[in-house]
Amino acid sequence: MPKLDKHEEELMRLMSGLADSVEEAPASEILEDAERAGVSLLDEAEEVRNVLRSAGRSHLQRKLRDSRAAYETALAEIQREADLPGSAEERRQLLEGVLRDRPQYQEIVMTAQHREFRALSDDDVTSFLRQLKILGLLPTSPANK
Amino acid sequence: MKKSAGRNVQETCATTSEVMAAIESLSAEDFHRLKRAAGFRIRGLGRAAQLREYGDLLGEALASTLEGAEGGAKGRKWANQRVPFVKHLLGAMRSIASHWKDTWERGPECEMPDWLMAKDGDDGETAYATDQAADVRGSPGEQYSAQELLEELDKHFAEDEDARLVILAKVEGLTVPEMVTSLQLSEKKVNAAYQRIRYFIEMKGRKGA
Repeated sequence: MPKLDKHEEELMRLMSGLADSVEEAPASEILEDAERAGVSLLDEAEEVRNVLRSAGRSHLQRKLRDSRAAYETALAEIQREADLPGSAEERRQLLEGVLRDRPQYQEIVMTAQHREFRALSDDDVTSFLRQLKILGLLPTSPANK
Repeated sequence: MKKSAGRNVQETCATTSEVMAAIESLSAEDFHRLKRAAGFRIRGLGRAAQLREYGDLLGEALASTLEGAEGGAKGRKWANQRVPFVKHLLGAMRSIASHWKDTWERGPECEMPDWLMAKDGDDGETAYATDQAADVRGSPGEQYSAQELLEELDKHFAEDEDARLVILAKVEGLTVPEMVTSLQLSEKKVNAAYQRIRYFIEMKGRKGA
């Protein structure tokens, strides 16, 4: 593992002390520092303001990208929902039809708790249909069938 | 204004637009203070800074504050009713610099933005849930320049007893009150010595040291 050596640690403590002293110094001392060092405060203010503005812009752009990705995910989810039939009875009929045509799928979606097809709630039916859809085992646009 | 998700539920923190507006309200003196403090923290980090510059530290402090303004648990909350913006940023930079050193010492892991791991506290002080590190190790030459700079300081302030004592005390990790007590220096003298040391470092930096 990397480690700062003795001199680096010493210098770090000194520099931290100097940074702390800058933080605590009265405004007059800070202005005196700048004047003594020949710093153009106007130019420097512009430079540092731009650093902050740029960091702010980058942050907001990243947030926008994240929001867009979240929006697209939500849209895809809505699309997936929309592909399922509108009523509970139609969804049940769809699942029943799929499992009748392809009984091998039954093992994928039906657990020991759900051996009785008629005992399934609409939430269970919808969940199974979604699983089948994610696995690509559901006919395309079943709502139209 | 948003209620902070941090430890003090009564505390309100600034919104994104309040943070952005605060940038425009900073004075030339504030900007100078921020740049100098960031510069000293980066110089102190040496190799652990991993080629970062003062702007990276300042930018990270702002990004973390904006993240905190989103209202979630991440980032640093700026309690703008209680803490001036410049003071908040200075505290955030102090905390971030310390975190960068820790993560550098822990070795290369996956690099993540600082604000992802930050938890807010008073005046920008921050605790981290997880640590992280980058794989850039910095220049080995930094080790030698640290020694050289300390030697140069020693030489330059050989005749300035107060500054020499302050440097020695700080290198040993003493605080200002401890210096006042143990070195029999007044706080005014300590601060004056700090100012002379800052000036020397500033001029040295301009010469490319």
